[in-house]
Amino acid sequence: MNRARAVGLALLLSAAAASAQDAFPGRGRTVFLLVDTDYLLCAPCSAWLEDLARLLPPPARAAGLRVIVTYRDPEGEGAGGRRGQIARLQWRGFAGGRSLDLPVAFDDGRAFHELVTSGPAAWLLDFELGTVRKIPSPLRAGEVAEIAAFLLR
Amino acid sequence: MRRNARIIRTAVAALLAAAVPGGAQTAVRLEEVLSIGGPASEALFQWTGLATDDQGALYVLDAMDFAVKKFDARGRLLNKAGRRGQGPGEFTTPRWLAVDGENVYAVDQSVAGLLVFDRDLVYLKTIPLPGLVEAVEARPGGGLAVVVSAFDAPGRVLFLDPDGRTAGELRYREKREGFLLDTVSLALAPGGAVYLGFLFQDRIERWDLSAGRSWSRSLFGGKASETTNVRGFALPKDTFILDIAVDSLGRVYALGGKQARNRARDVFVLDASGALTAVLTLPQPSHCLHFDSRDFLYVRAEEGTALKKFRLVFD
Repeated sequence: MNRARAVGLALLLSAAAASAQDAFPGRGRTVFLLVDTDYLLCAPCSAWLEDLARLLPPPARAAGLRVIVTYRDPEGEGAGGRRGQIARLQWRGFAGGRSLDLPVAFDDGRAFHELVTSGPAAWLLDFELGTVRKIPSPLRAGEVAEIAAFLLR
Repeated sequence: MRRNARIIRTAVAALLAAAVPGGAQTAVRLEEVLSIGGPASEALFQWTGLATDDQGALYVLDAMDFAVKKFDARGRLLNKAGRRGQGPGEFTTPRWLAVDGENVYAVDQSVAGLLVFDRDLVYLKTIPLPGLVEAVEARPGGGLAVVVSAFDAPGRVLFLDPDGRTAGELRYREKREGFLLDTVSLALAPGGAVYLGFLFQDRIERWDLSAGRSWSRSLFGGKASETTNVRGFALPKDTFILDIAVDSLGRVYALGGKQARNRARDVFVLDASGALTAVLTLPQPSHCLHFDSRDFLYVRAEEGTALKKFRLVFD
């Protein structure tokens, strides 16, 4: 990804983050795992998320790992609407059934919707440098170490 | 949202007269009598399988929290069992349920067999079977019928006694028709007839154990599914019959898939001879249909977080 594109995307994501409550910690570098509710029953998708949560060292997780859950909301009702409630319920069931304890934010303003692709992905953002790197699922060799190093740098 | 809620509350089932070619048209209304779960509840997260017993209790498999749950006839949670894992009574991909006698039989998509619980949801044992289980139904006279997917023996319905011993077999296909093309849902009529709804083919079949196949019907003009190539496999893209069910009067209900006008909502009602008599439309998409012994219909709602029970009124 070239620098201009990365800066543009970082700005877009920065703006998007403002609309997702508690999506990012108050620092310049973060990793978010973008997950659509449609993926929650997809075995490879959930395995990717669980592997990341299990393999990342706790200090790296604590340093700025977040889950952002997107969902279909054609009527734009947001957090208080039926779709927003269902997304929260399904995430609670998903995380509870797998003992996943990750900070989560919901894309109630659909700011992240355009970033959703054919599977979940990790997005590595450095707002200060204006760099963005996307790591799509499934996990490949070295990617957990790369994410950990990014968060702990 | 208010509009959707009103539709759900009034539970209107539309008669699609145009979809009943040349036959007698019967209007069908749905009256909602029970709702379990929903966005504001934590009773169900994403339910998959459902069964009912003769006391009116409901047993529900939830794929999101890997549990089998028992509700009373008023929808109150009585018990819950299971967790994620591959040990006794644990699930990785819970799918279908059946109740026969004092036992509850659960299908996990990754297990070649049936997990057996008692009606209090105490795990008893796992009955091994020769392949993964696509469908399970309780037989009207006792025992079970299961569709087993085994590579070397496709197209088989096995009839099991309550202990899991094979008591008979129905071969509805002698060889594979194509990858996934023999995938079926299963329904058993009170008189013993076996109905098969094909997920990736426009086909419903009635089989009688003594006489073989009685009839085969298409609902969507006999259209063949398009395929998509995934890593060298030609996978069917179009779904036709998502599930099939039979009420106590022998009426056959087929839930239409992608090919239906209202995907996962249109239910085609056939009589025992295979004639289409009505089409009703569910308020919300479902993945399955289930009738209890009193002919109440149970379907999914709220994207799997709710379960609805309806009374069907034929005008």
